Order: sequence, then structure tokens, then C-alpha cells
Amino acid sequence: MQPAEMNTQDGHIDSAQFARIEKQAKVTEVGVTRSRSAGQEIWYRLRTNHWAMFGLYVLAVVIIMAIIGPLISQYDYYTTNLDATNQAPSSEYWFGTDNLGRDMFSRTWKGAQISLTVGLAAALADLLIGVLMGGIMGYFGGKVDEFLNRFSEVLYAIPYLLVVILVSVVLGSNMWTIVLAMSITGWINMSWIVRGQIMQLKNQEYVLASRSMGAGGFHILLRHLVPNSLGPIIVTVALSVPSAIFAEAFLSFLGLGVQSPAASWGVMINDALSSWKMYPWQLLFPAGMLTITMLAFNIFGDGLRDAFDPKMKV
Amino acid sequence: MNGNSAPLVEIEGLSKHFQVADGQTLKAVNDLTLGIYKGETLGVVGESGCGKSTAGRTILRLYEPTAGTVTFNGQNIYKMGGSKLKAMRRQMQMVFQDPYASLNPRWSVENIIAEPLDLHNLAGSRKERRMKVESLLERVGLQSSHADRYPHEFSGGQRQRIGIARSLAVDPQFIVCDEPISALDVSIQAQIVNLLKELQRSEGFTYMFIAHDLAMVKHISDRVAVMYLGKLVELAESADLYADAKHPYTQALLSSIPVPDPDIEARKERIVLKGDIPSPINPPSGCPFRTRCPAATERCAAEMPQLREVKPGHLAACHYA
Amino acid sequence: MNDNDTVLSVKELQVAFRTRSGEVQGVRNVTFDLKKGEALAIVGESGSGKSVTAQSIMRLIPSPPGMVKGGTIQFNGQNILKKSEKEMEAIRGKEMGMIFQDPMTSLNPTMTIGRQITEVLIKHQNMDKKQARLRAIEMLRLVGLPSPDQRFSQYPHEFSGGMRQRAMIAIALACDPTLLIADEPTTALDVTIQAQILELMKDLQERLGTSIILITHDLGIVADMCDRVIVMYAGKVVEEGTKDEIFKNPKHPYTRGLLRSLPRLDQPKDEPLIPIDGTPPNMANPPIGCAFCDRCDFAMKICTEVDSKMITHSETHASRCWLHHSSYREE
Repeated sequence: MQPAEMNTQDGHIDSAQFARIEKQAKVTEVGVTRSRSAGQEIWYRLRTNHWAMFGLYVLAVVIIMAIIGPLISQYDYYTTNLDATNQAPSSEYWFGTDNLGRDMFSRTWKGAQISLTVGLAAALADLLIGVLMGGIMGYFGGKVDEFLNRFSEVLYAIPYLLVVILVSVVLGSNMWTIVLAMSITGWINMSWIVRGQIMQLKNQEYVLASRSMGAGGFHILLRHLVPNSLGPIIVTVALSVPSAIFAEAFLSFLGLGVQSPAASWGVMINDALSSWKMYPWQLLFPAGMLTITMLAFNIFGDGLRDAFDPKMKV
Repeated sequence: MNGNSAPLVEIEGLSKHFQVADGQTLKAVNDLTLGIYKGETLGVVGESGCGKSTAGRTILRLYEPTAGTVTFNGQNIYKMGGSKLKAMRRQMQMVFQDPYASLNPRWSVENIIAEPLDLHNLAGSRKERRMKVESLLERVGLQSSHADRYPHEFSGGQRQRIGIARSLAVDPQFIVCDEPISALDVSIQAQIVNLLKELQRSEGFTYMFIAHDLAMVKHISDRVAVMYLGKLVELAESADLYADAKHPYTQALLSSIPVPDPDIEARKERIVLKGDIPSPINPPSGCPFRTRCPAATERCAAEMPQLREVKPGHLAACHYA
Repeated sequence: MNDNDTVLSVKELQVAFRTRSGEVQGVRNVTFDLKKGEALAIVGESGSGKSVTAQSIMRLIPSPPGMVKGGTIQFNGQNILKKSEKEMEAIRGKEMGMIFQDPMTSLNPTMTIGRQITEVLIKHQNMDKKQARLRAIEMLRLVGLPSPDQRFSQYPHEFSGGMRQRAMIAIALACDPTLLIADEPTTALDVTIQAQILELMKDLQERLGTSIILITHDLGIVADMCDRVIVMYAGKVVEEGTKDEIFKNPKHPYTRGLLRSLPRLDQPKDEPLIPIDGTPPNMANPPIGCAFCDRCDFAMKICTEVDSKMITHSETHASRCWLHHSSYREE
């Protein structure tokens, strides 16, 4: 024991200092601290993640341009002009023209429209089917889970190119058949994630509490389990958009997807391929936009994941 | 408590077995027979794997039983279905152990407390709902303004109060308290126990109080049931149990609790049991306690001791009690 | 007090954690000594700083966000806070052993128990494999594990909770450390298993003469196995004394409240417990005066303005409360 520490504070203290005061804390506790809600916390973490915000800004620019890009150019994306083929970028044609004289600027942003639409539509389909199936598997468990799980494993095993070819043979190739083909197998990943979440959450005491009050399955699923799985669901959606965008570009490139004259980045890359050494901009703009968009989605998705669950950060 | 009238909750031959991997069976609760009288607090103590929490949950039919019946106010709750079961759930509520896990983190306190009201269509108008929530908050010692907050803003003890308010919302008669204080700090435990006792005094609740803290159980309970590996091994009035435990397991359990008094600790001859608690998947033959019992004989391995009255109002399941 | 007897001397230790809502003061000017062969209990509730104090002694504070902001820790004549991580590795496990609340997370699940003990012995004692194996089996026997030869080659998941804690104790004591820090060693265990582990720790302490710091919230365990007690509240030591002084003559209102809030086996059933009202303060913004003041029945004007120093009651007993100041007069 240290003598200095053990000494009383020296000198006399005025007795007024020793006046009793009323105790602040009552039997009723009042010490609640106001703090951020879960949503505010997530937004804060996202906002302070510079990479994620950079991704978000890039996405915002791509989306805005996809909407207004084709409108601000004086040329539309499908009219050919054989007097102005293979023009280099200039004040007239900002991104140049292709081998049929179509305006690359309009086509690039029209391509963005298609890519984003396909990406979002496929992700939305995954979301709806995946959450429903995953929710049912996770919550009901047992035989239902086993059956659906086997079913999705079988679907998962079918090569997806085969599905795409089959669908496009039957329904013809366009943007929506690609979305359909991708949705047939795309929801499986989401359903597994939701299933895992729900299995974990359904043993939480608040779920048990809800049951002890007489709540039924759908109340518990929709009010307790799905809202508490939102984090992983949103992250999965955000990360499935870029893979859908890439799949569309890839299929269109192979000629299985969107067909010319519609302007998809995949179609444009395919068109540019034969003469890319002479007219590199024809390849550069669609390929560059595809890369930038996917990268932006991916880093934004990673940022979202870190924001929802900082412990998962690697 | 009065021993003459029929119990409010009558548990007969209740068993709950779980199927685990490899086709084995975990006998969490095994042939439990017990009555809980109106207005009393029945304490249930035991160590992990003794089945006390499973018993509480099966009694509320959160688990379907493997065998046996639970009668509440004369009606078998396992025979009910649909709306009748839902109506019965209003009468029987539960307070949970973990104040962090038992409240949905995404809901406001108002929605949490009003959940049972909504489920049973008792909320009325928005304004009525809010008023009911506010008055429940005040009854458990919180402030009405807390209704707009979220669970993470509260301390453990405060969350437990919110959980209690939620169970009070539907005016139950019987509340199973499943280790309601074991996750709380010492200085807060007494607050919650006092609250539960006050509510019992004013509302006439009947409690089943599950815990492993024997001193706290003694303090709150009228009678205490001791469980070991899914079996009820001793049941007595709480003062009698502590003064005159008959089952060797209860004796060891009582002597194992460290008492916050150096003199008692210095004097105490502690019975330290050898070995670990056996797995409830493969319990010992005969008496489940015999593998650790200092007084076990061959008879204990061969024959399961039945619960019997060893003195008036005091039951024990031991051949030699 | 003979200085040669002092194993550990903590002076004015300050530890803070950086969080977004500001700097949280985990430990505020904690000072205490530990003598050879002594069992010291640090008692407090969650957030009182008791575990942080223990982790600082082992230099196991995760940094960031934690940082030691001041003070010294003298252990066996060396200043622990000045050591490099490499030097600490030589001290940890050899001169200091530690057991944690959850033996499952502190044992490596992919290594046999035997290997986890021999590794320590090979590293610190320069033993060869064979010697280490013999010593490890001897340790397993010492902590009361049945058939230690067999247990040696088993993995943690094959052990029950109590056996894991015994194995942890065997690892912590393998190199015969001068100091054993036990952080809530029995909190995760059942009562009858807790009794076994406490019995074992008492027995080993008697036989090996190890100094023990026991971190716990359970005053019953303190009464059972410690010589001296430190009571912490909101990062500060509020009372310190021998076991008898703390239990029979508690001076700080918090210590008194803590003891009073526990039900006693001899207490009449209808007598309500006496809780401590309110909740502990927010350590991101601790009160200027006494941290306990708004929960205290004896709060005075001065308590809200400035915190008391430790006031001595006997050579071993001191508390941080204005009620014991020489100028205070009972009304």
C-alpha cells in the first residue's frame, strides 16, 4: 500500500460540503443512454467507408447517365449512318461511331440501361424466390427442408448455360429470357443464405417468446425472422447484381442474349472485336463501362457487408 | 398456498425426449409429476442438463411432450388446439433468461410490449395501445417515455424489466421465470427479484422460478424442486429443504454454494462430488445420481428409486432417504 | 511490509478504450500490491474494470482500441509495461499463468491437450519431448484428471467443461509460475463442478505457494478462497482490505450494498432484498465526483464535486469514501 495514496485529503473541509443530497437513482432505473439505432449505426459505418462511398458515387453516375445519356446525345442508338462509320471520338460523336455509323455514346448508355435492368431484375427475382424458399426451409425444417434442399441441389447441378440455351430456344433470345434463365437457378444461393440465417435466429428467445404468446408461423417468419435477416439478404442482393450484369454481357457476347441492333455491352464488345486494333474506342467504351460498373457494385457490396456485420470484415 | 385445493398447474408423468444424432435419445425430462398451487412460487433448481428449462418450456407447450399431461385450471393443455390453445397462452407466460436475446433488436419497446396485445387483439386503438404500454412500463419501474426506445439502449436489468412488462400485458395467471436473473449483475439481481415478488403480491401470480442460484431460489420460493438428469429428486417447502435435505444430491448441492461469509466458509465441511454430470443421452441405470453419490450401493444401480414422502410434505427419490 | 515479499505492484494504472462515442475509461488509477503466496480477489460487476486490470498485467489488452495511458506494473522486479511483445512471450506462461472463464475458447481445438502442455514446457523450460511428456502427465494427474496417460492424447472437445478447466489449470501451472491470474474461472461451470475446481485451486495454492489474483463477481467464492479483497467500481478501487475486514466491516457504501443485496440462507422469506438502485455510470463520460454517488444512500454535496482519495482504516483496510474523512461528522 502506498502511503501517499492512503493519506486522507489533507486539511479541514467545510461541513457544508458534507450536506446530504437526495439520491438520484430511484428504485426505478433511469440510466438509459440514448444511442444510435441499428439502422443509423449501419449507415454511419457505410458513410465512413471511403471505398464503399466511392463505389456508391460511381454507381449513381452510371445510373444517371443510363437514364439521361441516350437523351442528351443528338443521335439515337439504332440509326445507322453509313457516311460516318468508324468515326473516332470527337465533338460531334463523343464516343465515336461503330462500323454501321451508330453513335457509340448513345449505345454505351443504352447498354447501361440494359445491363442495369437485367442486373436489378435478376437480383429482384432471386430476392423474392430465395427469401420465400429459404424462409420456408429454415423455419419449417424437417421433411419440408429436406425436400426443398434436395430440389435446389438438383437445380444447382444443371449447367446454367444449358438452361440459358434451352430457354432461348423455346422463348427466343432477348433481355427478359436472360433474366428468366438466370432466375431459374439464381435464387438458390439466396435461399441457402436465408435458410442458414433463419435456422440460427429461430432459436432466439424472442422467437420463443412470441410463440409463447400464441403467435403463428407466418407472424414469426415475417415479423421476426426475415427482418432480422435483412443484413445478409441485402448484401447478397448487392453482390448478385454484378454477377447478373456480367452474365448478361457474356451471353450477349456469345450471341445467346440481347441481339443487335439492341445495344448491350456484350453485343457492342462482340461487334468491336473484329477490328479493335483499328478502332480501339469501339471496344474500350463498352468494356470499360462494364468493368467500372461491376467493380463499383462489388466494392459497394463489400462495404455494405462490413457495415452490416463489422465482425465479418477480413 | 393451500395444500387442500387442486393445483393450478398439474404436471403428470411428463417426459420430453429429443432425438439426437445417431438415432440416440436425449431424455431431457423424465416422468415428472408435480403440482403448482395458485399464488405460490415453485423454485426449480439443478445443474446443466437436469432438464429444468426443458420442463418449463414443455409445461408451456413450447415443446410438444413425449408423454404425460399438463392440466391448467382443470384442462389438459396438450389436448387443445387452434383458438383454444391461443386463448390459453394468455394465461401462461414466460420470462426468459437472456435479456439480450429475448427482445427483438429491431423493434421499439412499444412494439415489443404490445406484441401479445396485438396477437390477442387486445390493443384497441393506437392511442389505447400506447396507453397500455406506458402503464405497463410504469408498473415494472421504467418510464413511459421509454416506449420509443430500442432494446440496445437499455442495460441488462432494464431489458429484463421490459421482458416482464411484455409478459404482464395479457394478464396471465401463471408465469414461468426461466433463470431471469442469472445473466444480471449482482446489484441488479435483487431489483428484479423484488419486482417479481411485488407483482406477485399485487396480482396474485403463480410462479415457476427456474434457477441455479440456490440462495436466490430459497429466498423467492415457497417450495423447491430439485432436478438431476431429467428426474425430480427432491421436493419440499423451501425452509425445510435447506434445513433438512434428504437426497444426497441436494445435500451436496447445498454444500457446494460458496456463502459470502468467511466464518461459515471456514467452518464448512464441503461435500465435493467426484466426477462429472453424466450425459442425459446415456444416463446411468437405476438412480441417475448413483455414479457420483457418496452413499451409493448396489441397489441404487439396479433399482430406480421412486419419489416418496419421507416426511410430511417432503418428497425425495432415494432408497435411503 | 517487506518489499522482497511483493510479487506484483500495480501503481496508478490507467487503461482506456477508444470507441466512436469517445474514450471509455476502463481502469482509472488502480493501485495495489500482491505478496508472495497471497490469494487476492478483485471483485466488481461487469464494466468495473476488473478484467481489464488483469489483462493489463498479462499485457493482453487488445490494442487498438485499448491503450494503457499511465501507471506502472512491477512484476518480479521488472516493469511489465516497458517490455517488448517478445519479452512478454517469455514471461507469459512461464512466470505468469492465466485461466479464463471459458476454457473452450482458450484451448486450441485442433491440438491434443498433451501437446498444448508440452509446447509450453518445451518453449519455456528447455525440456525435450520426453521430459515434457512426463511432466505434462504429472500435471494432469496433479489437477485431478482421471487416467492422465489417456487424457494426454485427447482433444479438448472430448473433455467436459470441468475437465477443460482442469486442463487449463494444468497448462497455466506447468512452468510453476509465481503468479496465477484466474478470470472468472468457474462462472461457466455448474455448482458441484465449481466446488471441485475451487477445491483444486485452494489445494494447489497451498502446495505450490503460487500467488493468485482471482477475478470474480461471486462474493461467496471470495469468502471461500481469498486472503485479501479489492472491490472495484467504475474503473476505480473503492475498497481494499483483508477478507474479514471486507465481509465483516465493509466501509464503502457500494461494498455494503453489494453484501446486503445478496440473499442469505438464514434470511426470512418475506423480508425483501435490499437492492442497489440504478445502474452503473456510462464510462465514456464518467461522473466528476464519486462514480457511485447517484446510487448511494449517503450521497453528499462533496461527492458530486470531487472523488475522495483512499482513506485508511487500518494497515490493510482502506476505502474511497468521504464518509470516512476526518472532517465528516455524523449528524
